[in-house]
Amino acid sequence: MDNIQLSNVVKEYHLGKVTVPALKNVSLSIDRGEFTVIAGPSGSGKTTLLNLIGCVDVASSGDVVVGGSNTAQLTERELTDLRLHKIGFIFQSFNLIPVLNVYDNVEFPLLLMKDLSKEERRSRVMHFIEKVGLQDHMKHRPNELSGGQRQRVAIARALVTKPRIVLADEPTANLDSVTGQSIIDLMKEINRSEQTTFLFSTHDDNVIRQANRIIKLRDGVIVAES
Amino acid sequence: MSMKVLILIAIFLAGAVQAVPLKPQEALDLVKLVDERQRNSGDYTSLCYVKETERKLEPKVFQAVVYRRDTDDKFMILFTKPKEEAGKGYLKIDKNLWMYDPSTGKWERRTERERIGGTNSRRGDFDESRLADEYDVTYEGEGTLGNFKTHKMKLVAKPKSDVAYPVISLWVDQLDKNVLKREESSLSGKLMRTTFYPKWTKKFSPSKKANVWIPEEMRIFDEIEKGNSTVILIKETDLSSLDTNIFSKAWIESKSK
Amino acid sequence: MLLWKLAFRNLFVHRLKTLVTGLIIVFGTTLAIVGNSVVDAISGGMQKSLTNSLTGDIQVYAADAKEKIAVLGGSDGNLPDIGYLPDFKKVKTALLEIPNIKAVIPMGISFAMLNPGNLLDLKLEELRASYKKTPRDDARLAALKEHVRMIVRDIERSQTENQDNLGGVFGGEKLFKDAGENIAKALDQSFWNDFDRHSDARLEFLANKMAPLIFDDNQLYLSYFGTVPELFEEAFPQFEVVKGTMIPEGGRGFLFSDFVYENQVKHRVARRLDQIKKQIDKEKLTLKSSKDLQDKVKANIAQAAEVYSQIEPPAAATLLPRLQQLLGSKSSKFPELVSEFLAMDDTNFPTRYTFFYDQIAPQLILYKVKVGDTFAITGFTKSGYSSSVNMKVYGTYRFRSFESSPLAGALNVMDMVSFRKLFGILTAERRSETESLDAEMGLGDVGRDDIEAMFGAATESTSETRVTSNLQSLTQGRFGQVDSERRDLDTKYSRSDMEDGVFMNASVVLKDPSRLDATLEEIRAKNDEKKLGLQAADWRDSAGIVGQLTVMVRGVLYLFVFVIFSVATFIIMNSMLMATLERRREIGTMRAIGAQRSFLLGLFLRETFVLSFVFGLVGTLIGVGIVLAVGARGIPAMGDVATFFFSGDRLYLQVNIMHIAIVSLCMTIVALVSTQYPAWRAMKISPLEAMQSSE
Repeated sequence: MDNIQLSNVVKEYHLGKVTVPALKNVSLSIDRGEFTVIAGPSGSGKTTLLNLIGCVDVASSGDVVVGGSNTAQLTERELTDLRLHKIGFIFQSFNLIPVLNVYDNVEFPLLLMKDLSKEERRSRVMHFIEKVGLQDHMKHRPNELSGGQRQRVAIARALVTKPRIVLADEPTANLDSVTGQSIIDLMKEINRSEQTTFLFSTHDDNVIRQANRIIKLRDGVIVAES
Repeated sequence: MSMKVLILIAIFLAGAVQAVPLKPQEALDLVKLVDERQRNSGDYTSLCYVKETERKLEPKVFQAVVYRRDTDDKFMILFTKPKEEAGKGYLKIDKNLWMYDPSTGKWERRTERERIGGTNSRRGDFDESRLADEYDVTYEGEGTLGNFKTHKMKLVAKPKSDVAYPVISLWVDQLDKNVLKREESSLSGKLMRTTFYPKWTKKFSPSKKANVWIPEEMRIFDEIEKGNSTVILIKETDLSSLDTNIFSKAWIESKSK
Repeated sequence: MLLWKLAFRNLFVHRLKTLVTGLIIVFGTTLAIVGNSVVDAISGGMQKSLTNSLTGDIQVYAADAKEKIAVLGGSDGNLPDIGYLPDFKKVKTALLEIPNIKAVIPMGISFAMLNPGNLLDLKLEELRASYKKTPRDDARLAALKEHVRMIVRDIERSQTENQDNLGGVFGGEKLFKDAGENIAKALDQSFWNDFDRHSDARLEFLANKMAPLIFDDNQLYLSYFGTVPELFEEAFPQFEVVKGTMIPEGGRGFLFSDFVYENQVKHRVARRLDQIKKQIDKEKLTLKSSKDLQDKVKANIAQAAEVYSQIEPPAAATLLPRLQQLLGSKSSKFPELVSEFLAMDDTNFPTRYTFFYDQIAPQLILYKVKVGDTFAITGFTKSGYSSSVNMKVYGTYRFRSFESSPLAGALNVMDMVSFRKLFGILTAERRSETESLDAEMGLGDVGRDDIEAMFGAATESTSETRVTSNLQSLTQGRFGQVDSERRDLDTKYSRSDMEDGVFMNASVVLKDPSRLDATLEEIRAKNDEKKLGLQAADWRDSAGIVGQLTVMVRGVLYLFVFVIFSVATFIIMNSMLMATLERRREIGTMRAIGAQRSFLLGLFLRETFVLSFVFGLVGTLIGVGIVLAVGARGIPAMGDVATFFFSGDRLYLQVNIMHIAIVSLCMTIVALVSTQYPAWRAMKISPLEAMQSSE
């Protein structure tokens, strides 16, 4: 089954009397296990596209089908649920919960899921913390970590629910090149081992080069694919 | 004093038939006349009854003898009945009003505002009339009371007068020059009592060589506590001389044993 | 668990904000608990004070009373006109049929006046009495005359001193115009040389021309209640006689309230000294530090004349050297020494206080009316009519445990028979006399409306008045009864005499006060059944404005607490709102990750709950702690009024579970209410917020 499918999607923002088109008629499909990059300058609509796919926003017109469901037909509750179970988010500014430590931050989505036992949760959280190499920092709070460490926590959190899709919005934007590279490596490794679909936006050329597929976006329209 | 007043009396009596509004001086003179007619140059003794009716309580009646020596400013009341009040007395010397109660054997100081025997009457009701001395007079026009034509006057107490009622409205019979009605108010103008004089008597005084007018009946109505009223009846009067030293504490005390 | 953890962490991270809000909650809760406890105690104290001294548990009075009963005075401070009921015995017998009623005691309250006269009046009376005595006591006469002379000299002095003041107000009056001349006459040697021979005239001169010059308002206004004294004593166990004795059973008599006796009847200078002593001993004040006490000393000095002028010259002569020694002064002027004596400070106060009572007080008129004296009291009806009666003062009384309170303590006690006399109720004998006098008068009653009809015919009858009695003979001889009242004072009246007849209102004491409402109904039923003509009010309603005081105080307290809780709610709501705005990204992230809206609501609720619960609990514990700690020791009564409300010297507090429960409930409501709006706003935050790039 196709993981993600967009057909004639249009997204417009209304600012007072002015209508700003963010996406003008976008159609694409992304398969499971892809490691795809959405490239383009700022304002091209990358974030908007991710938002639509991530069920965080709703298209003005057109269909957005994620994991077999058309997002326009789902209730708020169902969308939230979809996000919880099937999608993982990695944000540009990490977006960790400041009052929780590393362990708790990673555990957070699992607690929302409610259907895992304590042991299962523990094993999963540990697994992913080790995966991102932060087992020595489990009790630390986000403000005690470096940017790279924080992003790794974010990744662990995004992955802990074993989502089908991981969406990352400019994940390396706030990291130095070395750290950034290690993040990409990590994501690639998981992509290989878990067959998780990775879709992330960036305007970093270095990152673009490492993707399997590149979707170029400009002014709300796909201009190229490779 | 007497000559001028006699002339005034003559003039008034002459013009008595025609009812004419008065000029200010005439109004004052009228009040002076009112005073003068009631004054005696000698002594004065009268038998009085006072009936006090207070709403919701039983009426009280007293019998008392009133003594006056107007030339000396002396005044005395001696209660004779009922038994409970007998022997009680008031004695006024200058501005001092004293009250004696034989049952306690004590004298107490009182003021002008004293309710005589606990009734709504005041010393001034029994004592000589000194309206012209104590009040400033303003003429207020003509009026009627029953079948009588009256002159109406407003009296305001002079600043140094110590009186029971600082503001009085007076209705004087145009014909006979008797006071028929008095409305007595406090300084603020609040009406306290209304007194009516339905009956007057005159008696010839050998010392004055003229008549003394005496209000035989006085009906006082309380305007604050409506329903309360007092009646003073002066049943008889004796104008013969009294003992020189009768107006004293000792004399009143001697009336009790 | 996660939610709790998040809630706690959030509160902890924003410590300062949490603490500030928390403190407000603590304050409000503590106030609510302690405040309620205090108001409860005061309310209880007041109830006790009133029901044990004045109102009993229930008051009954005339159903057709013009005004509502107010035992301690109405809202205008005056005693209301509640009329009267004709037969106490009937009411008492009927009411005692109700099982819960222990006693019914008549207790009409009225006020009266007594005027003992100024110092000169008193001395002149003594002098007059001395002249009448046989055999004559020449020594006494001489002493009294000397004293009178001294007083006149004092009048002269104050006339010259106050020349300006007096001139203005009374300058016109003859009395004062002639004052100078009269004083000179009274001080002249010739006046005194032949005093004995012309004693009556001299005394009259002094009484009428000298005595009025003294400005001394000696009048006493006394509030009293008329009752059957022994019934009263029985029914109110707090009652105790302080000085003298109780009014003898069946006798007529008067008891001063000890408070009134010591504060109004007592010599002013002595009273002030007592007050100073009390405040030094009890409240540990010093003359040096307290302006109030210093003012009292100043007042004493200003009224030194009231001390030295009352002391007769022989006694003054004896005191002079003693004062000189005490003060270490060479002055031989008695007035000066007294003034100096009264200028007291902390060091000399104890000695001088003792000296005052040992040496000076016995020479003074220490009390205007003394225990054991008989005095004439003038009572007033509502419309101002007066009647006088003799009263013998048997002693003073007070209510144990709030003896120093002016409220309950200001009422003096009078027996029922005297009360009725003052009230103006006529005896059968008097009534028949009235009827015959009325007949003698021979006049009809004319109403106000009909009076003008009397002015129909001529008003003047020029005939000689009828002579129906020989006027002169009427007043010959003696017809007054001296000291009849005094003798009547020794009459013993039976309980029936005391109880039968008119009464104003009565106190009803219950066996079981907790069943008050039920008993009130039973009284009303009994009233309908037996046509007693009365109405009943409970102690609070009948106390007048004072009774409403605790209701008001409680109202104020509730208002206060309400305000504080509202403020707390508002602050919590605000800070939650601000938090919501600050945590947009965090909340958006949570939503993006998959947290439902209900999750967020739960988070906010828990945060607020912890806040309210924890700090509410702390506040409650502090409140309870204060109540227990202070409550056991008691709050001391500051001043006399407080003694009444505390029903004693100290106010003891107790913990009331009900209050704690209610306060907790309020806290919960605060928590819920303050969460609503912020939570609603939070829930509206879309996951999009998570996508905002950081600043």
